[in-house]
Amino acid sequence: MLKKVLKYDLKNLFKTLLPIYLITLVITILTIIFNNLSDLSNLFSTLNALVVFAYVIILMILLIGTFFLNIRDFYLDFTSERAYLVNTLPVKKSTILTSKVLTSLITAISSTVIFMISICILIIGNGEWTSFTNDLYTLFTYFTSDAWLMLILCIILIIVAYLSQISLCYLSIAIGQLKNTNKLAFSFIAYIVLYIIYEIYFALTLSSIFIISPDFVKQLDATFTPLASINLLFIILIILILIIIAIIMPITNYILNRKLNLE
Amino acid sequence: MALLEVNHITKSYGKNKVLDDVTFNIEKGKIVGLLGPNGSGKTTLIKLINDLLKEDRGTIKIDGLNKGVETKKIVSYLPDKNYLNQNMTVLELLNYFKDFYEDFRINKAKELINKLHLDLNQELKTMSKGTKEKVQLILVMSRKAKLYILDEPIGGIDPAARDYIIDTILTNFNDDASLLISTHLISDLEKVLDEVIFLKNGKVVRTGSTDNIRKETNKSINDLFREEFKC
Repeated sequence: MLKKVLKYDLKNLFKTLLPIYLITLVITILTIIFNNLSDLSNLFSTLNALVVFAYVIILMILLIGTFFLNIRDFYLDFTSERAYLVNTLPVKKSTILTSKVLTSLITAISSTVIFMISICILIIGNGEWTSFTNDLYTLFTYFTSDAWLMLILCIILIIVAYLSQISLCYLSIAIGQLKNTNKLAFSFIAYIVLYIIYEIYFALTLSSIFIISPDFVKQLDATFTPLASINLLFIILIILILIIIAIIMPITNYILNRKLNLE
Repeated sequence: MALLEVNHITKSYGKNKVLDDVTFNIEKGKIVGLLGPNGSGKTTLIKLINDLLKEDRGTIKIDGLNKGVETKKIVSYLPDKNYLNQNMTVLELLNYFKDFYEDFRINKAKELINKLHLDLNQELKTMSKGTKEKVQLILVMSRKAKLYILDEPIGGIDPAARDYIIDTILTNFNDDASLLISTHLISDLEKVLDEVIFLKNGKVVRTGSTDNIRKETNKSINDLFREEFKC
């Protein structure tokens, strides 16, 4: 069933995202064209400024918009008229929830890929592709095994941090829908409260390391290289975020399963 | 064993008690009217049966099962609002139902859609309110479910469309299935109802077979309804 739910969730979001991707690529090409023409006249220079402004806006929509699109989709599926269909499907709530999380991850990755393609087109259009790839190659030749590990851990950290924020928003909506009126406002308040708890959790757990072992940093310096120390910190953060996701998701599932309130 | 067993259901919104100790059964093969004025608790009761709300007290069993994935497989529900994704085309909706409901008869649905001369590739958002409601009804009635629950299917619909809806309902559900239909427009449906449940201020005030009630009271269900719920 997960495959079917995922198929429709992705289809639904990509109906909105694909035009955004297309617009992003078109504006990227326009940016290159007007950048090359900007020296010819004041008109082209002004148009170039406008296109660059549009480019920045579309990149923001691409990255931030994808996140909010997922949140909106979840909200509609559990509070709007659409909820009457979604919640009467013969599908477990945990399956719907898993599909939503996977959809948010897939759409975030696809938007990031479009963002990177856009940047690459911009570099190629400005005739800097060879120097860019050479610089990148040179940088990678200096990479030690610790640096590669840091890069991988950094990507994992970004992904789990994104998932934790999405999960936090889903839990806020699950709490917000418990109210009979003003579900959106109540979801927003729930998010603020949950976010404060989320931050306190990190502050307490990280500070507890130093309480348990006051010489933790000194020991790190003595035992590991600076990069290895950062990697260890990344691993700790990833584990802490995974723990909080493992707490949030079952609570969200419980509320949607046992306390669904389509009043 | 009854197909639907509603036992001592109580539901409140805050301090407002919407359903108060509601109990009734629906046997297989019956068409049952859930009758009551606006605000009597009909929609709340239907939402509870469909697991869209949680009861404060009492139990609901469908075909002997507690509410959950298994009961959703055998219940075909039409809410009193447009609940389909407006960005989807008719064909996408048919495939959606086919993907999720094993009992969905896609050819039957296509046949009914063709009779309405609708384009399968038309998006729902481009249709009129009445057409959207017909598409919803076709989707719901094209399932070979054990229990159909229709919430106000003819509320706010013009008389010509009402006939189409009633005809679609009656010609597309199995003889061994049951139908729970909520309405306050009784005259249009009285002739097809086997049983009725009168709901007033969240309480069941009368229940039984339409024939028996007519015999006992010497009144039509429509007249009885007007008398019972007189303002």
